[in-house]
Amino acid sequence: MRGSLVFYHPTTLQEAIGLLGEHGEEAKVVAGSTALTILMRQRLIAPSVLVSIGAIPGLDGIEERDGAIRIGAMVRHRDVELSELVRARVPVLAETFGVVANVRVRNAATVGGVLAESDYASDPPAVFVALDAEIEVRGPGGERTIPARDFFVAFYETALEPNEIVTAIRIPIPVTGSGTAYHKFVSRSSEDRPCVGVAALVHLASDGTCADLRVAVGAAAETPQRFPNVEALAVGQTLTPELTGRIGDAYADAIDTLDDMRGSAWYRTEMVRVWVGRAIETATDAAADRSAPG
Amino acid sequence: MIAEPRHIVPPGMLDANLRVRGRVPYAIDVVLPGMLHAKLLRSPYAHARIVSVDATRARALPGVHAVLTGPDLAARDDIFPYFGPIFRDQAVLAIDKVRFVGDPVAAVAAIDIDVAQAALDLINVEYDELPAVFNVDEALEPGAPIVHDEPRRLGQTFADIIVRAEADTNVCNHFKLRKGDVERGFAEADHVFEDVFTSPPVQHVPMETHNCVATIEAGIIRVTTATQMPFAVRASLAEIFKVSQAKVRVTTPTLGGGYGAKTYTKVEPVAALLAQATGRPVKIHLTREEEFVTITKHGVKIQMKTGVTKDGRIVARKSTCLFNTGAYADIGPRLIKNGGYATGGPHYIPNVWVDSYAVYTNLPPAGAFRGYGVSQAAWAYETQMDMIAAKLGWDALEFRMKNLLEDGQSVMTGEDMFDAHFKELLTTATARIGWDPAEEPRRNGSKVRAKGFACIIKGTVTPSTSTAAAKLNEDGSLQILSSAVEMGQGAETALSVLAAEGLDLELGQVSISRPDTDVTPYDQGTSSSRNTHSMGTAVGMAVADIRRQLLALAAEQLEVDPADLELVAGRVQARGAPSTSIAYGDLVRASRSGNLLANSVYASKGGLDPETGQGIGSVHWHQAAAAVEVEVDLATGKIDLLRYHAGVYAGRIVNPVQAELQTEGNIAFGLGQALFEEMVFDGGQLQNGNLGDYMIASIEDMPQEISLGILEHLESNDIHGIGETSLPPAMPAIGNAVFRATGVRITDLPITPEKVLRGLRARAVEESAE
Amino acid sequence: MTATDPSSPRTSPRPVDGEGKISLTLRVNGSAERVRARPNHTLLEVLRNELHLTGPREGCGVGMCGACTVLVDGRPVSSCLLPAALAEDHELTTIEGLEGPNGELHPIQEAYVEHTGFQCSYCTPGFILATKALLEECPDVTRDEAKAYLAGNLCRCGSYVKILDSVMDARDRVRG
Ligand SMILES: Cc1cc2nc3c(=O)[nH]c(=O)nc-3n(C[C@H](O)[C@H](O)[C@H](O)COP(=O)(O)OP(=O)(O)OC[C@H]3O[C@@H](n4cnc5c(N)ncnc54)[C@H](O)[C@@H]3O)c2cc1C
Repeated sequence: MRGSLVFYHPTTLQEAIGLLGEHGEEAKVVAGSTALTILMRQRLIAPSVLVSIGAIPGLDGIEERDGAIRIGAMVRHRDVELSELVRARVPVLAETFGVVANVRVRNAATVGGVLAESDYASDPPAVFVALDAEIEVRGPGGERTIPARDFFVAFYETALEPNEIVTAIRIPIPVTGSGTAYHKFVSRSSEDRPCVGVAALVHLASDGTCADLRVAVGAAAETPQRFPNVEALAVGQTLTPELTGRIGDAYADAIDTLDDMRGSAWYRTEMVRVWVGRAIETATDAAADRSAPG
Repeated sequence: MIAEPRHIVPPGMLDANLRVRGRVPYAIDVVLPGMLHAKLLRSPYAHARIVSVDATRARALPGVHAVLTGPDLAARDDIFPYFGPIFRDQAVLAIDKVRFVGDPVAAVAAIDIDVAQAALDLINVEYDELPAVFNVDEALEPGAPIVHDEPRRLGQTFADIIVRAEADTNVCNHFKLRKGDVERGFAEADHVFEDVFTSPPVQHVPMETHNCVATIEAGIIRVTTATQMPFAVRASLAEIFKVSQAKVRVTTPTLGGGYGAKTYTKVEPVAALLAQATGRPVKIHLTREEEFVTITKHGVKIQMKTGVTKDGRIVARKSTCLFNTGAYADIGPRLIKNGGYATGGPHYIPNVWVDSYAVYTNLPPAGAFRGYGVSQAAWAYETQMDMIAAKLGWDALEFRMKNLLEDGQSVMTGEDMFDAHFKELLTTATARIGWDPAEEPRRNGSKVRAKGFACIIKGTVTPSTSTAAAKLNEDGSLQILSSAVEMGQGAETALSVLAAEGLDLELGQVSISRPDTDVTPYDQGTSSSRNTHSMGTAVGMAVADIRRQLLALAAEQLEVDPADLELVAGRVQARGAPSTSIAYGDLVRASRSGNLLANSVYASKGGLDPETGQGIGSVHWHQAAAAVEVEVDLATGKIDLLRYHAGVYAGRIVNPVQAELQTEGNIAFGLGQALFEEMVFDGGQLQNGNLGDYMIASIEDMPQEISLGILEHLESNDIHGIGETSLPPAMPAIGNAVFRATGVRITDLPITPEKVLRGLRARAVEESAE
Repeated sequence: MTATDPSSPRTSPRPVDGEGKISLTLRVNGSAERVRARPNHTLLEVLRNELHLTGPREGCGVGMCGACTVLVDGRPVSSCLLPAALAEDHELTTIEGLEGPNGELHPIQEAYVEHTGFQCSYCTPGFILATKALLEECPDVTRDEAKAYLAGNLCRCGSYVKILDSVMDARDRVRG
C-alpha cells in the first residue's frame, strides 16, 4: 500500500548515503519531488524509503568559484532563473531554467533532480552539455566529478553509481567574446515539454571568425547530442548562413531521432536541422554584441 | 405576454464572491460521516472475455468494506445492472466481456483511497483476449469482430430519435436525411467535388473530474453528483435498483466544468451499489487519467460530395458520416443525427442526402461534447467550401455569400429558415480582420501571414422539455425552483434576470434553487446550449402566471380593473396613479395562501421523419462565424494566431459578460482542437491520457488579439443559445487561413506543425516536378 | 522545503501509527496545524482531507493545471506534487488565507469579481494565488509578462481574456 512508505530527513550527506546503502533498491532520493510524485502516482516506481536531501546544509548555494558558476543540487529551477549572478555570468542558463515547465514546478524542481532524472524531454541538460559543465557527486566511495556529456547515459539513466548523490554542478563561465543561446521548440501548447531544444555557444575571434562552436541538442534522442567533429567545421570560419546550414544538416544526419507525441522521428530530424541553425545564429549575434566595442 | 420593457444588466455572476474565495461547494467537497472511498479496477484489454474474477483476497484486506464484480451484479435479480441513455449497453461493471482499455471490471469501497487502491491489486481477473476493432473502417468490414454481440437492450425511447441498429454488425445507429433529389442535383452541377475529412477523438477535460457521493438511507437512494442531467441520472438509478423514481434523490451542486462530459449517467450507479453493499456513504472521484477514458468527443470520418453550378450555387450535397462511438453507445445514436444533418451547413442546398452512422469500436465511449457533432460537420463543409473556391478561382467570401441561408429558404431538414443572420455575421467577421480577397499572403523571413474564415449553423435539441416553478413569498421575494445546472455558464444569474424582469424585482429579491430531484421540477438537462432559451422560457412562463395572480389579487384589493394595473418595483399600482398601489407581500398575505405558486412547462415541438430526416430539426437555428489571421513558420510548420474575431447570434443577450465568456471560451476550446488536441491510441491503449501528455490551450496559446461580435436583435424576441455556437467555426477558419498562408490543405484535424511541414515538402516536390 | 526542527530525528524515520500515518505540523494561513498523514500523502491531500480546506483542488495530479496551487513561503507550487512531509516549517497560504476575518475580499479577489475572471471557477483559487505571487514579485507587471507567468495555470472554460483583465486591474488596486 502507498502507506508503507518511510520518510527520512538526514542532515548530512554521509547519513543520506548510508541510508541509501542500507535500503538499496527500495530507497530513493527525494529533492523537489516534482518527478518522483508523478512516478509514484503512475505506479511506475514504488519505493518504500524516501531520503529527503533538503535538510542537508550546503546543497543550496549559487556561487562563482575558479571561473565557474557552482550550483548546489537543491537549488530550485526558479532560483537559477532569477539569480543575478547567473544572469550576469551565464545568462543562457537563467533563460533555460526560465522556460522549464511552469512557475510552480520551477519553484519546487531542483538542479540535482533534473540531472538525476535524465528525462530526454528536459531543457537544462542540453545547455549543461554545451557548456561543458561538470557534475559533482558523492557516494560511498567519496567524491567524484562527471562531465555533463558523460553523465546522461540513456532514457532515465545516468552515470550515477548506486547510492551516489548529486551535490552540485559547475558550469564554466564562457570566455569573453562568446555568445550563447537556447531555443526551446514546442510543437503543441506553450506548456509542452520541448519537441527539440538546442543550446549553442559561439566564441568569435577578434577578426569575426569562429574560434569555438559548441552545439548540444536536447529532447531529440535519448540523451543530449553533441558532435565535436561537426562543431570543428566552424572553427576558423565565418559563420555564414551557408555554413550554419551545413552544420544543421550534419546534426540532423548524425542524430538518431526519436518518435513521440510531440513529433515523429522525421519531423524531429527536420527540427534539429532548423533549430541548430537558429541557435547558432542567435548565439553568433549575442557574441557579436558582446564583443562589439563600447 | 411576458416581455417587460425593463432589461436588467446583471453582474457577471451572482455568487462571484464565494467563487473567488474558493468557497463555492462542488460535489467533490461533500464529506459525510462514515464515508467510504471507491476505486475501480479497469480492463487492460481492449476486447476480452472475462473468464473469472476472484476478489477473495481483496475482500479480506482490513479496511475494505465491499468489493463488487461484474459476475456478482449479473447474478442478482434485484437489480438491472445496465445503463445508457438509449441502449442499456453499458454494464455498471463489465459482465461477460470488456470492450475497451479502461472498462471497469470491479469496484472496491474502503476506508480510504490508499486501502481501496491496495485492494484493487489483490483482485485477480482472468481474461480471454478477443480480436478488437479501433477505427470505423475496420469496424464496418464484413467479418469484423463484433463489439456488442448481445441483443440490443433498448430503453424508453427519446422523442427525437429513430433507432436503426443493425444486428450482428458494429452499426449502433444510422440516421438518414433525404432532401430533394440529390442525383438530379449532381446532374445539374457543373462541378462536383468529393473529399474526406476527419476529426480525432478529444476529451472534454473538465477541471473537476466525474465524482459523486451516494448513500442509501431508509430505502431512499441519495446521490450528490457532478452531472449536467440530474433527472437522467435519477431515471437510470431507479431502473438499475428496480425502484420508483420517487425513491431516488439526485442533487447537483455547481460543476467544475462539463462541456457535455457530464451528461447522462456515469459514475453514479457504481457508487450507489457500493453504498447499498456497505450501508455507508460512498464517494467516487475519478482521477484525471480515468476521466480520459470515461467519455470522449467522437472521432469522425466524413465523406462529402458537393455539386456546384458554374455561377457558384450549391445544388447538391451527399455526406457519409462515420462517427466512432466507442465501446458503448452513450448518446451517440442521437448525436449522429445532429452531426449528420449539420453537414448540410448554413447554405441553401436544394438536394441533400446524408447517411450518418454511429459505429461501435473498442475505444472509450464517445458522447456529448460541446458542439454535439456539429464541429466535425463544420470542419468538413467549411473546409470543402474553401477548397471549392480555391480550385475554381472564386472569391471564398463571395461564394459563401451566394449560398448562405436567408429567411424563407429551406434548411437541410426542410423547414424554412427564419431570423437568419449568417451574412451579417460573416460580413462583420471578415471586415474585422481586414479580409481582402486580393490580398496576397505577407511574407517576413520564414514567416508568412494570411487570413481565413468560416460560418456555421447549429440546431438545439428539439423537441425538448423544461419545467419550472415559482413561489412568491409573504415578504415579496421570489423563489424559482429549477433544475438548471450551474456549471460556470451563469445559469443562475441568467434565470434570476429573467425572473426579476418578469415581476419588476431587484436581482437580490430573487433566488434560484440548485437541482434537487425531490424538490425542483423536471428538466431534460443542461446541455445543447438550451438552458437560457428553454429553462428561461419556462421560468418566464411561471413568473407570468404569478404576475396574473398578482394582478387579479390587486384588482380586488385596489378595486381597479386588472387592465389598468402595472407592476413597478415590487408593487402593483394603478397606471398613472402611483399612489394607488400595494406591495406584493401584502397581496400574498391578503391571499391567505402563504405564498403564490406557479408551475410551468415549456416543451418545444418538432422532430424529423425517420426515412427522410425532414421536419422540424430545431426550434430555431444557432448561427456563428469566425475569422482569423495566422502566421505560419514555413521552416517548422508552427502556427501562431494573430487575430481572431468570433461572431455569434444571440437574439437577446441576457448577460453580456457571460455571453463574452462563453464566446472567448469557445475560442480557447476551438484553437486547441484546431492545433493540437487529439487522443492518441495504440492498440486501443490511450497514449496521452494525462495533462502532461495531452495539451489543452493555455493563456499563451490564445490569439494575440481577440474581438467579439455578439449580435443582438431584440425585435426577434428570442434568446439563442451561445454556449457552443461559436466553437465549430474555429477549426475550419484556422485551417482555411493556414491554407492561404502555405498552400497546404489539411483535412485531418488537428493541424499540427508536422502535417503543415509535410504538406510544404510535398508541394515543393510537386512544384519542382512541374 | 524540508523540516529543520533539530529535535526531530533525521536518520530514524518518524514514528508511524497503526494506520501507517505520521504526525506533521503544518503552518497554514498563519496557524500551526497538527495533522496525521501517510508519509507520502501530498500536501493537497492533507489540506483537503485533514484540514478541510476546499480551495485547493485536484485538476490533473501532475503539476500541469495549477488548480491545486498553494503558496509556500509566498511562492506558488503544485500541492499535488509536494509530499506533505516536505511542507513542514514553511508558511503555507491557501486561498482561504487571502480573505479577511469576516470574509472580506483581498483586492485581487475584488478584481476577479469585477471582471468575472472565471466561469466554473474550479481553477480560480490557483489563478488568484499565482496573481498574488506575481504582483509581489513584479508590482508593475505588464499584460505580456502576466501572460507568461500565468501560462501554467489552465482554465478549461477559457476565461483567459477576463482573467488577464482581472490581473491588470488587481495590479492597479494593489499598487494603489
Ligand atoms: C508539469 C511539469 C512540466 C515539466 N516541464 C518541463 C519542461 O518543460 N522542461 C524540463 O526540462 N523539465 C520539465 N519538467 C521536469 C521537471 O523539471 C523535473 O520534474 C524536475 O527537474 C525534477 O526535479 P526534482 O527536484 O523535483 O526531482 P525529484 O522528483 O525530487 O527527483 C527526480 C529523480 O532524481 C533523483 N534525485 C533528485 N535529486 C537527486 C540528487 N541530488 N542526487 C541523486 N538523485 C537525485 C530522485 O531520486 C528521482 O529519481 C516538468 C515537470 C512537470 C511536473
